[in-house]
Amino acid sequence: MDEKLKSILKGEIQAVNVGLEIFADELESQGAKVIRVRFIRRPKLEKELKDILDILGS
Amino acid sequence: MMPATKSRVIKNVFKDSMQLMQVTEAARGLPGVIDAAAVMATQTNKELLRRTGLLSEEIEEAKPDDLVVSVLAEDEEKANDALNRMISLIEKPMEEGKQKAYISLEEALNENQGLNLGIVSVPGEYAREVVVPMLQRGISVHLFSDHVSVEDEVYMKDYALERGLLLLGPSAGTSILGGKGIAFANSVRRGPVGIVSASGTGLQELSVILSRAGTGISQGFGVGGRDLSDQIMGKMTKSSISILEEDTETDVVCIVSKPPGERAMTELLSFLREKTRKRYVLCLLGWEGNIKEERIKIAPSLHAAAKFCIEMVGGEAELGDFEKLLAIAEEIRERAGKRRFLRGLFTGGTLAYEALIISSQALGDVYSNIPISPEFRLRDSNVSYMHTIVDMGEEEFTQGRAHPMIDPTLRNIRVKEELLDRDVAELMIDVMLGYASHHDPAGSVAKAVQEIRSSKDDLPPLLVHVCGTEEDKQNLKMQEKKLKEVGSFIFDTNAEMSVAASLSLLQNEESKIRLLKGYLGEE
Repeated sequence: MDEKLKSILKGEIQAVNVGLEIFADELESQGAKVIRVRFIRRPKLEKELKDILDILGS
Repeated sequence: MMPATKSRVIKNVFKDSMQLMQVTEAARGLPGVIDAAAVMATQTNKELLRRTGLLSEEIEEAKPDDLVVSVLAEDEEKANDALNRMISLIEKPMEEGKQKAYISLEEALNENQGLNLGIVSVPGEYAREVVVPMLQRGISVHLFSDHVSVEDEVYMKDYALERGLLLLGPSAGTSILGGKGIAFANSVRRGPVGIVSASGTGLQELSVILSRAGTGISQGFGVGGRDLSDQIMGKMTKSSISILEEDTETDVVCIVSKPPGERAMTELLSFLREKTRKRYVLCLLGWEGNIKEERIKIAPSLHAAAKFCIEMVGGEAELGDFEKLLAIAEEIRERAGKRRFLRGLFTGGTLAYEALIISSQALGDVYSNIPISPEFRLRDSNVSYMHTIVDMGEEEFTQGRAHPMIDPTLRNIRVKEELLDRDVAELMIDVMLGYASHHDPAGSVAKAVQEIRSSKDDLPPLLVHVCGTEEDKQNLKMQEKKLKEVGSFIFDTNAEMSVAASLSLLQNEESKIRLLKGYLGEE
């Protein structure tokens, strides 16, 4: 089994949280290390353009 | 002095529902404020503002991408003060004392070595672009987001499996990994039962029943609601089972899901027969098949699943006192009088579904926004019809606002409406405790009941199941006490509550016994 996965299952969690901050707060309260990333919605047109470029590039 | 309402529309500004709920709660505590709301201007939220007297003409014209703030206070000056305070809270850059938040995911991943778990709750259309860079770096992911396409789910799960990682979700409400609760989870005992669940509240309920009975869980994998569909074919269910098969702390594994796809079920059974050696309990709510295998047992409810797991690990399952339930059902019947209809308002989707299965079996036609068959779909989820069970965590109630497990406002309004309805014989509700849930959900619903007590003496019985433990931050006993103080009937499991509710409306003794035995794990 993957070593990082093994650590999770032992409760040795080092997390990165993207989105709702309450999940980061609650995991931290249980003694886990949590890095927070604030999610910022990109404008729709920019996302659509990136999706098209991803398809063209794949 | 006259009460005054003040509102403001902030165009094209998005804030997440949690942040807005905190602003709302802060405003409600300000001097002279009667009610307040800070929400995105979705239809659901406008309807809520209308029902609470906070809707203005300006808000009515706002678009779903606009943020609206509205406050009702004792006078104009207090309303203005509160409105300004709310706007300043919304504009505040970051909560003081909180750790720095990265703006760039790439930067966060590059600067922090050793990360092993991603928790992702972004809008579904953006999930893949957040999840894949994590998987590329060997980070397993718990994906809470809804509305992820099947194509993206298949892609991300295959990508994770190729790297020996987990992609739990999408729509994974709960996981419990190495004793730590992820997203909505309860503080439960550790023990010999492993859980693989395509349902968040299903995992919560099962782990809570096991914990309260003195047994505990080793790991709880929330694999996402669609994992056992024919499109996903149990990719993460099988992967999680393989982990639990190797885990020396796990003796019994319980799989929880709504009815699986036919092909996915066939594949799951072959997998269990050929690749596993441990004992299994399958709780596939609403699945009508049967299996006769020595080490695989089918459970018709989460209560029965917990009972079977406890028996399999050699424990004594003291769950479900039939005599006591029959006596409580009789008391409910007396209090209901001549009123006819059963109603249920749930924040946990799987608890709503379990209640729907049990009550439909007992009472026949039960209408819902998550119906068992299409002819029983409610025309309008906001309006009950005859026997009705509503899942208030569904999309129509959560667009642009926090889930009712976090923000009970919408459910409390509906609780009052149902209790004031002259045809309602009894009302069932769930109260979910644990990480990420509201800090005092029982207190909040008890307050709603108190508020209508003066307008109607003879309220129908309120039946409540509190899903939680004494170790949860809200504390089970304290929460149950608040509900008992407003005269509620309290049940240890959701299945017991649903059975008691149906029993109270049944006349035939044989049907009663069939119901009790059918759902509470009696052979």
